This record gives sequence, structure tokens and C-alpha cells, in this order.
Amino acid sequence: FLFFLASVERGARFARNDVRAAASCASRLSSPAFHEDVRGTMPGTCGWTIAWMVSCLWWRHVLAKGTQPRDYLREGWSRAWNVDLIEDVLLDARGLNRDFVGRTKDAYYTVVANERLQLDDLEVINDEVCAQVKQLVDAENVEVQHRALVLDRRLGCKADVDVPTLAKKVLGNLEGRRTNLRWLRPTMNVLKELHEKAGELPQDVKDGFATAVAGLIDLLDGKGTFQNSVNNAGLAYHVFADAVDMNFPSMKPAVQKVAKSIPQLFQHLAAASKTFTIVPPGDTRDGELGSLIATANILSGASRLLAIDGKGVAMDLENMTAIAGYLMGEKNVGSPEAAYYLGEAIHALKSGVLPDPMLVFLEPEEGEAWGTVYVASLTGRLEDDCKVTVESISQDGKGVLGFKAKTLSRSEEGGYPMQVPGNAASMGLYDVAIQVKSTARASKAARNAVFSMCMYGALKVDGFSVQVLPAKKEAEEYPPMEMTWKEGPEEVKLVDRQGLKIKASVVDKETGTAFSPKQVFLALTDVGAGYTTHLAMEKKEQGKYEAKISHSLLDKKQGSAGAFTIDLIVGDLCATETIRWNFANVQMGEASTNTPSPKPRWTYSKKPDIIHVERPAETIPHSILPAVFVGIALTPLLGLGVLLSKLGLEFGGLPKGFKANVVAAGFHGGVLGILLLYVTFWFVLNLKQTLPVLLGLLAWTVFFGRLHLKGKVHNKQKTA
Amino acid sequence: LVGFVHLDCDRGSDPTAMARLLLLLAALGSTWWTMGAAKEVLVLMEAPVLQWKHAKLLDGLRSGGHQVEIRTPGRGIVQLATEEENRADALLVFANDLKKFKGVSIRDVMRFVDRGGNLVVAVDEDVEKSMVDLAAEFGIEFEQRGKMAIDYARPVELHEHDPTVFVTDQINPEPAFFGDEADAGDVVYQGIGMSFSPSSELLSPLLTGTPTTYSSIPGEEVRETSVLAGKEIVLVTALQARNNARAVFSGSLKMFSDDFMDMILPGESPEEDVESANQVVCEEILKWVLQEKSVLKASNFHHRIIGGEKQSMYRIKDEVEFFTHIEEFVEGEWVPFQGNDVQVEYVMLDPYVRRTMQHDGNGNFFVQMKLPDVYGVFKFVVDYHHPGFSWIKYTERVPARPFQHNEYERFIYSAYPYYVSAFSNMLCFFTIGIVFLYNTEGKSK
Repeated sequence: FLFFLASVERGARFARNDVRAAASCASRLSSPAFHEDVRGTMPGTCGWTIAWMVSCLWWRHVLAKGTQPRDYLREGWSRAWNVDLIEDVLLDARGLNRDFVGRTKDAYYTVVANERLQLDDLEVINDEVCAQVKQLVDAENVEVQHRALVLDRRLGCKADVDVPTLAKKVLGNLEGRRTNLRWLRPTMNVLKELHEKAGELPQDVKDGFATAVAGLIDLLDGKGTFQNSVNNAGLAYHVFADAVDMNFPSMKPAVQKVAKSIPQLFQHLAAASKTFTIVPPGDTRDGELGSLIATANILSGASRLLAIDGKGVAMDLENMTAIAGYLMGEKNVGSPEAAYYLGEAIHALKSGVLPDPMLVFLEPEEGEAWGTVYVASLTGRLEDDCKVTVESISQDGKGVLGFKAKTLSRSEEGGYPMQVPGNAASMGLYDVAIQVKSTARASKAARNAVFSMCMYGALKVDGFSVQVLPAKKEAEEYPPMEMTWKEGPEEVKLVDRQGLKIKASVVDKETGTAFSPKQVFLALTDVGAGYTTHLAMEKKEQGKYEAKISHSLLDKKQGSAGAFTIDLIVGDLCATETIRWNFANVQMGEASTNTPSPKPRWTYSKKPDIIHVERPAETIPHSILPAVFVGIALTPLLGLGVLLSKLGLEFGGLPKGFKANVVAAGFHGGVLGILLLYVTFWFVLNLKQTLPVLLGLLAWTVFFGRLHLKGKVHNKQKTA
Repeated sequence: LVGFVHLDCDRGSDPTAMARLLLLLAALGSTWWTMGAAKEVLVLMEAPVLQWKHAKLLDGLRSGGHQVEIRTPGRGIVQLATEEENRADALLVFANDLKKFKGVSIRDVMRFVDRGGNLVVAVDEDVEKSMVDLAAEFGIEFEQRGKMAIDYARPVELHEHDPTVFVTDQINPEPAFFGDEADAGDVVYQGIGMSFSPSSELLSPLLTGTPTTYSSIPGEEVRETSVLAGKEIVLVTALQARNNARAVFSGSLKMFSDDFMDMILPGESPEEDVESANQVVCEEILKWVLQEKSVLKASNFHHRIIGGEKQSMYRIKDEVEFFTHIEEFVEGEWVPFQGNDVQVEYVMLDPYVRRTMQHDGNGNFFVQMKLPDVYGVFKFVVDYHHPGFSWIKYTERVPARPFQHNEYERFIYSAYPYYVSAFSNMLCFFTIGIVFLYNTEGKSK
């Protein structure tokens, strides 16, 4: 339950911005299984969603019916309102409608939307709606009554309504609230529907309503307390128009009186509109948005009154345009409430009674023509009976010499082509003032517009020099190298702390007059890294530019050494092409092969592989030397051999007897073992492995050595 | 900015290290496996109307299976994350002022990215301080408010009188970002420029100005001497964070709009008119940000003596092999990675050996290397951060030891005098002992 409560809240928030989300939300919550309280929060959500759709559809309808809507206007609206999306959602809503028949508001907007779309297949829905409508025409809420009665009429439900009783009930509810226009308007709506249904209302009801309206007129005249707000005025207009619709003869003087106040009211609105500030629609439920809604409301209300008796009422078209233009600002699209009332306002404008403000726009073209001026109504209808005059052409506040006002002729396509004036000066940006007068409109007020237009032309570099600046101020300057535009790059070498001074003149290629483009840059590109530094040349006078590239700047931007290219870039809004000229290649300092090229910007390369360089092998002597020393090392052994051979060997002292031989063998075996252990240690074993064996062999050798020597001593003593 | 996905193995010395590594790999693995799944995308839009102006972009996200939630200012508090986790996989901010969204601060966005969330920020020339500060946190510097990128040489249409709407074809050619779409054509742009330090390892320009583009206040002459212009003016920037979160900053809201995507660019003749590349480029940008491409998964890191076994410690000068398996996420599935610039390093403070790994086309990367003749506590490091690809960072401690005494060469020619003298000494000793004990020749005489 809590989850779905949260979903409802979420859906309500979405509804103002995302109709699809709202429809989805509504779909989920429309199941009868959900608690009625949960569903009860839905009508607001879906009601506004559908209201939004209705107004959008009306826009589309208006545009489709326009006589010659400009493509871009139509496309613009389509994009802004996303008609396809609306249609999708509306179709969804039709499906959902079955679950919302209990809410007259939703049913009302759904049916109205279907009518606007001229969709059919509503029979199934109608039956369900009618069943509900019949229960609701007698509801307590005056708005519910109104919608139920509208549905009853449009769907032909034929609800059984006791008109006099209901009318008196509604009027009774109005007692004490006569100055509350938010109550008065729906009351009038109910009475109007009842009037339509019954063909006539009882005289006491008419009298009761006339009393209410008279009180309202008094309020408008300043008798009593009335909040003379824009919104209240708009509601009042609707009330008066409703009364006239019902053909109350007594209402006509009041209507005429009110109608005369409309121009002043518009002026008030226009003044107020200048203080409007665009604020995000999400935050404009009150305040500014309220003003917008009220403005739209008053437009629609006024149009209804003017349809009754609007002759001779002068309208301020400029102010109307300001108001309507603001209303149509795309930033208001996000609010369904504003969109709905805006749709109502456009409906009023479309009715043709309320003067439709003129929009003047210019469609630029290439070639001889500057473009075509179009005059259109707010609803996209082209005006084809206007006098369009080019009043002046000026640049920097100064008029173009010799230019005279010129009236443009209307083309067959509906626009007013404007040729490039032959006596305009050189290329550049000009302000073109245009005045439009409509011959068909009741008001003869002119509409003025100013367009910024380019006189296009080609640029040319006329006069260009490159000068090497000396390293020291007191040193003699080098003469500047005069260069001709488009000639190949000059090779320049800078040594010590030399810099560069560059001068350029830019002219209109056609007329040769000096011209100051918006973009006059030098682009210094490091040849190694590809990195470019841009410097703006300083404007000295019209069309004359100068730049100094000091050594410190070069050092900072490009490094103290290296090669770079310099390009001149000249561009302007009114130039047919941008100049890019590589005029110099510069070598700073001595070209060094030791300086590694800097890594190019924005390019990735893997890191270089590293192969570890090992320590160099130790130097060894010549191979003859070890051989010599081997010989020397063998000398004692050889000497021993010679000595023994000289002395002669007679092993008469060998041990005798088994025990003595075993002891001798053990002793010499031990000594030999120690020697072999040393050899083994050399080749295989480590110290840890060697030492235990060595200890064992030592013990062995000492033991047998002692026995052996003891035996030798004993034998010697015995012999002695 | 964010922590490294840092795997530090110390085989043998710490038995819990491998367990930690496995846990980390498992955690990362689970993230990677969900990479292809639908993402939750939270879109913060400055005004409701933007969702219709950017309908193609949003529809594209939805049709890609992603869940898109759109929030506009004044509709309650926006919560980017709970205490434990992000509420969405990606955050798209199409607004000039972050402060308009209740509950969203720079800190929240940073935390979102720190937790692996992906981010797209699009602003225009009306960018507010909050967004400038947010970009600065990522090392990006937007131009001064009011300045716009201007190009007289490449306007969309000469006579439209608006040099701030221009085309650029300076798309980052790195395949990780746009693949074959890098030469998609001209992108229509209108907005503010930005710049960042070229030394940044994490930032890459996705779209830059042409040689004639510059940044200035429209309609005004340039007064400053030094101008951000040409390719140095970055229009769209990408950030590949070390935790593999991704972010994109665009100086143009309109670049992503239906108007710019549908724009027909005039050619020399009507037959040569072409559509702008905005749709293609924006789609590729979103794919990249949403981790639908250029995501790498590395596994099975292994090393051993050539022809031998893996060891926890090698001897200096050993010839060893290093292997890994790398896959790339392409079109919803993992395929062998074909990069030719994956390198492995043998590092002790500085890399002593760095080798580029070869691969067999099936994602198996390998290299043979000779360890240095220096012993110490070394690490094998794979630190792959090719722009656009997700970051691969692998570290394993594998020390190098010196030769043992019996591992040296036994006989050196120049030492033969020593060997000969030693062995002759032993032989003499043994011989003299025998002669001394048993010879009777002299005695008998």
C-alpha cells in the first residue's frame, strides 16, 4: 500500500513533465484491486496530462488549418510539442479511460481530446461514461456538475436532469461567493449547459444570475472590493461572454462597457510582461506562471467578447505581440497548465475576432538576395496584404550613405524578397530596419523590425611584414621583411633572445577598403609536438594589426629551442572564407639533435621497452698468464717428485698385521676423505652440507691417526 | 580521485594475501559480468522541455534496454546514492547549474563517481559556478561564462549569421572511443570550450576544435593576446577514472539534441548534402560512458621460468615468461582483446625491465624476459591504461635473489693457477704423509 502511495506521488510529479510516465503510472494504479483512496489521487495527475494533450492537439489543429504555414514554423511547433508523443499517450489514455470513468474530469478531457482528434470507436467508453455521468450531474461540486453536463450533451447520455431545481441549487451555492470568480465561472458554465439542455431557464434563475453579473460589473467599476487582477478580469470576461451566449438582453450594455476597457487592460498586461522573468517551469506554479495563465485566459475571454461587439476597439498590436510571444516561449512548454491555457488563447486568436499579432521574420538566402521577409500571424498564417519597407541600413549606428527607403514587392510565393542594396558600402555587418503595415487589419499600426545582415565578401591580406626583433633594446633593428600574401613560408632563424614583430593589413578584396575582421590570429605550431599556441593580433587601426612575439613568450610557449611554423588566421562573420596562411617557419636557437622531441599532445603511445643493462664482466688477463702460473703452481709438485726420485723410495715401514693395516687404511682413508670432501664441496656441496661431514671425517681421521701413530711409536720403541 | 584497484600478491610470505586477492577478483569479476546488463540511468535536466529536445538520445537509451529516470528541478529531492550504494549506474546532468537540483551537490556527484558511477555532464555558455567547480574536480577548466566556441571557417550554413554553430571533424581517433566511427564526419557544435592539462593521464579529448576555432564572446573582438583556439580548445572531454568509472564533459547541450542530430549539412550540391555525425558520435559517447564498449577484463596472470615452474622468487638473470588473458566487452559479449601495447614491468621502485606483450589473437598475452642482474624486492606490474579502455592494474611481488655459491661457474680459466695449486697442495700433502710414514730408503742408508 505504501509502495503504491509513493507511486502515486511520483506519478503526480511526473505528470507535469512526462505524460508517458504519467500514463504508465495511471495504468498501474487503475486496477480496481487498489484502494479507492489511492485511486482518488489520480484524477489530478491524469487530468492535467490529458489537458496538456488537448491543448497540444489544438495547436497542431491550428497549424494544419493555417493557410500557408511556413515550414519552419510548423516544424518548430511539431518539435516543441512532439505531436507523435501526444497521440501515443492519448491512445493509451483511451484504453485507460475505462478505469477512469468515475472521474468526470478525466472523462471530460478524454472525450474532448477524442473529438479534437476526430477519433471514433468511443461507443464502449461512452456507455460506461454515461452511466457515471448520470450519477454525477447532481453532484455537490459545481465543476463536477459542469463536466458531467458537458459529457451528457456531447455523448448524448440523456441524463435525467431536473433543470430548474439544479439551476436554483447552483445559484444557491453561489450566494455569498458572488465576487469569487473561480466559483462564478463554473456556476455560469453549469447554467449555460442547463440553458442549452432545457432550451430556456426559469425567469427567477435568469434574474438571480443577472444580479450576480450586475454585482460583478459594479466591482469592475470600482464599487466594492474586487481584486482587479488579470486573472479575475479574464474570468469576468468569460462570465460576460457566457451570459451573452445565453442571450440575456440585459447583459449587452455591460458587455459593451467591459469591451471598451480591453485595450487598457492589454496595455497593463504589456507593461507587466516587460517585468516577466523566465523561470524554470517547475518552479512556476504560482507567480510568473500564474500571470501567464491569466494572460492566456484574458486573451480567450476578450476574444469572445469582441466576437460579440468588438467593432471600433483599437488594439495595441505591439503589446499583443509581446504578450503572445512571451506566452509562446518554449520554456513554458514544460507546464501543462500554461500549455492548456495557451491553447485556449490560441483558440481565441484563431477565431479571427481578436487581432492576431504580426510576426516579421527574415529567411536568409544566398546570392543576390539578402533574403525574403515574411509576415505571418501568430498562428502561422501568412499575411499577403502588407506594405513592407526597408527603412534604413546602418553600420555602427551610421546610416549607409545614399540609401533611400525602399518598398519591397510581394513574390508569388508569399514573401517579400529583399535584394542586396547596390549602394551599400563594403562587406560587413549591417542593421536593416524594416517596417510592416497591414492593409487588411483593423489596426493600421506598423510593425517594426531590425535584422542584422551581412554584406558578404572575400578578405585579402594587403601589406604584410615580418621583422626580427633584436635581443637587446639598444641594438640596431633588423629591417622588416615585406611579404606578399600567399607566398611560400619564409625561413626565419632566431638566435640569442631575438623575437618577431609581425604587421598585417586586411582589406575587402572587392573594394580594397580596410576591414577589421573579428578573428586575426597567429598560430604557432611546434613542429615536433604539434602543439599550437594562438595569439590574437592587436588592432592598431581599421584593418591594421600588429603582434610582437618576444623571446620570453616563445620560450614559455614553445620552449627555448626548436622549430615551429607560424600561420596567419583571418576570419569574420561576413567573410566568405577564412584565410589561413603559413607565412614563416622559425628555427629557435641551434637545431639540436640531442633534444628529444616533446611528446605530441593528445596522442597515446606505449612506453618504450626497457632491457636491463647488466654490469660489464670483469676484465680477465690474457690466457697465457694463467698457463704460466699453472706451470709455476705445479713446480712444488714436480719438485717433490724429483726429490723423491733422487732420494729413492722404499716402503719398508708399511704396517704389518691385520690390525695395523686396518688402522693405517682408516687413517689414510680419513685424510683422503677430507681431501675428497673438499673437492666435492667445490663442485656440489655448500658449507652447511660440508661441515657435518667434515666433522665426522675429522673425528674418524683423528681416531685412526692416533691409533696409527701410537702403533708406529710402539713399533719403533720395540725395534729400538 | 579514486582508489586503485590494487592487487598485491605476496605469495608465500602472507597466507591471507591470496585469499584477499581471490576475494577481490571475485568482486571485480561479478562487476564485470553484469557489464552487459541494462543500466539504470538517472537524468537530471535543467528544464522539462529538454527531454523533448533530446528525445532521440533518451529513446536510444530506453531502446538499449536501460531504465531511464528523468528528474527536473523543483520536483523534490534528488538522491544519487544511499549510504551503501549508488542509486543508478549512470548519471546524466544536462544542466548549467547543479544547485537547481535539491539534494545534489558536487560532493554527491564525486561520491557517485568514486563508487564507480558513470557520469555525463553537458552544459552550454550559461554554465554556472557549480558546474564549473564540478568540472574542476575532474581537472577540467571550462571557459569563462559567456564565451563560446566560434568558427567562421566552418559554419553550418554560411548565411545563418551564427558562427557559434559550426562543424568540427576533430574526433579522437583512438579506437576505444569511437571505433570505426572516428571518421563519421562533421559534428555540429554550439557551446562553450574547455581545456585541461595535457599531462593528465585520466583525461582525453573526445572532440576538439578545428584549426580555425577559437573561444571568445560572440560578436566581440578578441582583446586578450593569448587565446584558447584550434585543437587546444576541447569541446568534449572523457575521463577514465582509476576505479574504471567513466565521465564525459560536454560544453554543448545542443550537441546531443534532436535538432543537431537531424541537421542536414549542405554539400557542394544538393546531392552531396549529408547528415551531421552528431547522432553517431553521441551514441558512441553514451555507449562508452555506460561501459558498453572498451571494457577490459584481465585474468590468469601467471609467470614461470622458461620451460620450468612458477616460483615465488627468481634468481637474477633468470629467463622467465609472463602470461595473462585479456578480453574486451564488444557488442554485449566478451571477445579476445587485440591490443598490441600491453606491457609488463619488473619493478623495484623503478622498472628495471619493461616488455611489450605479444598475443596469439585469442586474448592470450605472453612475453619472455631476462630478469636484471640486481637482486631485491621486485614486483611484476601490469598497468595498462590505454586512453578509452578500462584500466588494468595488476601487481605481484616476486623478489629476485643473487646466485648461490654453487651456482657460479666452477672453473674459470684465469683461476686455473689457483685450482692447480690447491689440488697439487693436497696431493703433495698426501704424498709427503705416505713417504714420511712409510719410506725406509733414507733410514736404511
